Amino acid sequence: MRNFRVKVDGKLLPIKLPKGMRVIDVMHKLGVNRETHLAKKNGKLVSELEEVSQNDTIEIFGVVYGG
Amino acid sequence: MAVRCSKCSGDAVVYLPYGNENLCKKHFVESFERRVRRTVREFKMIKKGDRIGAAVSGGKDSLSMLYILKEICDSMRVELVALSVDEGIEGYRERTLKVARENCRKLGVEHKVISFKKEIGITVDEIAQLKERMRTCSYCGVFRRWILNKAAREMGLNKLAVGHNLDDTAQSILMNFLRNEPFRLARLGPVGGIIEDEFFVDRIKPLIRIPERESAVYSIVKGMNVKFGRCPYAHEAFRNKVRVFLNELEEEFPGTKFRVLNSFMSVKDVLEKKFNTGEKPIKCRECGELSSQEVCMRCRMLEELAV
Repeated sequence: MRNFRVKVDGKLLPIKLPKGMRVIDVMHKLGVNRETHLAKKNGKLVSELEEVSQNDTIEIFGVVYGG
Repeated sequence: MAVRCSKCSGDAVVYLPYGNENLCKKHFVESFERRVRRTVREFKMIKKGDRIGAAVSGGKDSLSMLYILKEICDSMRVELVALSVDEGIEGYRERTLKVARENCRKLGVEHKVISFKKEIGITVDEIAQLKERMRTCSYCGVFRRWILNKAAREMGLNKLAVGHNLDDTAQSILMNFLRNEPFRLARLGPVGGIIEDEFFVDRIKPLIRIPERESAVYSIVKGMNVKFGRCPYAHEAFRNKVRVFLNELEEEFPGTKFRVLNSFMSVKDVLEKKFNTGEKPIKCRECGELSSQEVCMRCRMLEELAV
């Protein structure tokens, strides 16, 4: 297991993940729905199937709020 | 190693689970625009000689719609005007109106802002302060529709484009089923409105087949500088429950929202026939706008609020 730092809706959260995880796995681990959130890796918008490594900066942000 | 686009070797910016494809910026924009154009064509939303008003709040959906409508209207030599409503929501609406203004300037689209205070005499913030009233959203929705219809008609516009996306539509369909209100379902759809009358400006919904998250992606890759956030008064409990339910289903069974819309579209004709009462709208005694009753909802609400 490795330590990752992921920003979710502006809040920095430390999580532990095994090697070879993808953005979608991070989302599931954090209980975030893929339908309502998008992800950036190192400042760039990426597919949720993108792999993440310990050195990456992951940002997950909500885009579907309704209302 | 970056995930590659399913159509080229570029870096993917989005994964579309219902089509099981990853798309790069270029191919996503092409796919998004092609789907909107197809919807516009299929439902004959825009014709030569039309004068289109685009209801633009400054959010991702309305701005994404405006970007594509601008291209479509230019290619057809159809006039396009952006209309924004300032409901008077401090700390929220100024920000989105600024984004709307900047994008309209960038696109070269005329932008008109109409305010609640001027047209109705009260802001949403003021309504929210009042005791013994309905939910703030109920007033806001009625007033906004009244203002947009009146402004569009006075400007000589014959169609009003709204940024309702696939998510909004699938939620509305499901909500009407769950509330046993099939007559409301009969009024839903990509074109038209609740009333057929010359006094009523027809609504068109070019994004009806676009999932909400994709309009967010489009707004990002097109650099619209949209701020993702919600109106501070938006808490329609039932719609929120349906939204969460649909999003959970969509995550597990990709394509669910499309299937809800397609099922509805396949029975829409039957619903229209069954629930078409042929009732003609009348003009409101107070304001002269269209109404199903002697006094329209907007005027009844204003009376209740003592404005």
